[in-house]
Amino acid sequence: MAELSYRKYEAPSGEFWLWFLQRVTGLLLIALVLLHGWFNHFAQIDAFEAGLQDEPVVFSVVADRLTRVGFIALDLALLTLVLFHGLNGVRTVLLEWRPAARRRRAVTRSLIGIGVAAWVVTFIALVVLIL
Amino acid sequence: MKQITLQILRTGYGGEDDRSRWERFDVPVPTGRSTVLDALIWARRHTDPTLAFRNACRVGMCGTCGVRVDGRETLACRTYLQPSETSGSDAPEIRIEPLRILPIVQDLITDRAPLHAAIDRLPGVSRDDEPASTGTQATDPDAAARDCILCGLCVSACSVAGLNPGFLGPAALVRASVALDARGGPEAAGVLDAVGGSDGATGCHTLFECTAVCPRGVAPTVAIQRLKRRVVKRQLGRLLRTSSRTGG
Amino acid sequence: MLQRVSGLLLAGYLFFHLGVINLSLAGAETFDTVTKWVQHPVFTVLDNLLIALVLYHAINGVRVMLLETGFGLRRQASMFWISIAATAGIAAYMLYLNIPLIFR
Repeated sequence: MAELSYRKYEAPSGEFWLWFLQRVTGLLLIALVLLHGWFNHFAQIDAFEAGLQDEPVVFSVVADRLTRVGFIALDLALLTLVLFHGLNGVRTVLLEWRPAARRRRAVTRSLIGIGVAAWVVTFIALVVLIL
Repeated sequence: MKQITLQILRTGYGGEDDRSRWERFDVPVPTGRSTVLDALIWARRHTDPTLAFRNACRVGMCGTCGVRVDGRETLACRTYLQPSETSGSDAPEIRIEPLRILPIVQDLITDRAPLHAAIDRLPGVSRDDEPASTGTQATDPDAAARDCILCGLCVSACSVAGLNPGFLGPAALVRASVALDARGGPEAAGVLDAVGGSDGATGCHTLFECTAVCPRGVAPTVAIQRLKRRVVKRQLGRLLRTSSRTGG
Repeated sequence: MLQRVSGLLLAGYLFFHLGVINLSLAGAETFDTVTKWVQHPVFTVLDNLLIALVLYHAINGVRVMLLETGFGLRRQASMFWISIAATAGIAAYMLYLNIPLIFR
C-alpha cells in the first residue's frame, strides 16, 4: 500500500462515546427528573392540600423515603447521571472554543474532579442521613 | 434609470494596521433581472478597476462568486437587485462582504484552500474525485448531495465552523457522505472514524444554517445526520464485537 | 444556542441545589429552616422558571435527537415551533398549578 503524502485524521473514539452517552443520559434523565419532581414536590403538595401534612415539605417524610431501597437507588442514579450530563455538557461548550491541547486536558481533569467531589460529598450526606 | 447603492467591505490594502473598510458605490440598474454580480462588474468597470471579486460562469454552476449580501451567504450571480426610482442618498442600499471563515485574499475574494484541506482529512476521499451527478436528483435527497459545487457558502454560514476552526464543515461532510454511498468495506470504516468526533458529524448542532444557504439544493444537515447514524452503528458494532471476543 | 445557555444555567443550578440539599440534610431543624426559606413566594416563582428551563432543555433535546435519528428533517421549521409550543404549554400549566403556592 502506498504511503499517503498527507496526514489522515482519525477522531478519537472517546469523543464519540461522550457524545453518545450525553444523548443516552439525557433520555434517562427525562424519566428520572419527572419522578424526582413528582415525589419531592407535587406528591407532597397534594398531601399538604389534602391535610395529611402540616407543611408542603416535611423532614420525616424525606427521611422516611430514604430508608427505602428504591428511593435510594433513584437518588443515586439521578445524582450520577445528572453530574455526568451536566459536566459533560459544560465540557463540550468549553472545548468548542478550541483551547490549546494542554488547556483541554486541564478542563477535562478539573471537570472530572468537580464531578467526583460533588458525588462523594452528596453521597456522604445521603449515607449520614440514612444511618 | 433606477439605482442602487453597494456598501462593499474592502480588505487587503495595507496602510495603517491593514484594516477592512466599507466603501460606497452608486450603481445604475438597467433591468429588473440585474444581479449583484452585474452591479459588481459595473462598479469595477466604471468606478474602481481595483475592486476585487471572482466570477466565472454567471449562471450559478461554478460556485466561485460566493459572497455575503446583507449578512446572508449567496452566489452574487443568482441574487437579483431590488432597486428603486429614487437615486443619490435615497437609493436602497445593500451590504456586500466576503465569505466568513475562509481567509480573505482581497476584497470579496476568499481562499478556498480550507475547503480542500478538510476533504483531504477524510481517508480515501479525493478532492479530485468529483461527486458526479447522476441526473436522478430531482426526488432523491442523497443523489442531490452529489450536486455540491464546493462554493463554500455552507461553511461560511455554519456557527460551529465559526467557533471551532478544526470542524470539518458541512461541505467536507457532504463529500464524506457521498463517498460512503459509493463504496463500502475498510475504506468506509476509515471515513466513519474520521467523522466520528466533535470535529466531525457529531460536532454538528443541527441548526440548518448550511441547508438554508445552499445554492444547489443540497441539504448538508440531512447528510450529516445520516453520517451520525452510520457512526453510531459502526461504534456500537465495534463495541459488541470486542465484548463478545473478550467475553466469549 | 439556547440549548447551551439553558444547559449552562441548569448546571449552575445543579450545584446550588446539591449544596442547599446537602446542608439541609444535616438534621430535622436545619431542614425545617431551609424549607421555611424556600417556601417564600419568590422561590416559588424561581421554581417555575426552573421548571420552564428544564422543560425547554428536555423538549429541545428530544427534538434534536429526533432530527438526528432522521425524523422530521424535511419539516424542521414546524418541529421547532411544535417544541416551543409544547414547552410554553406545559410551563403555563405548571404555573397554573403553583398559583395557590405563590399567593397564599
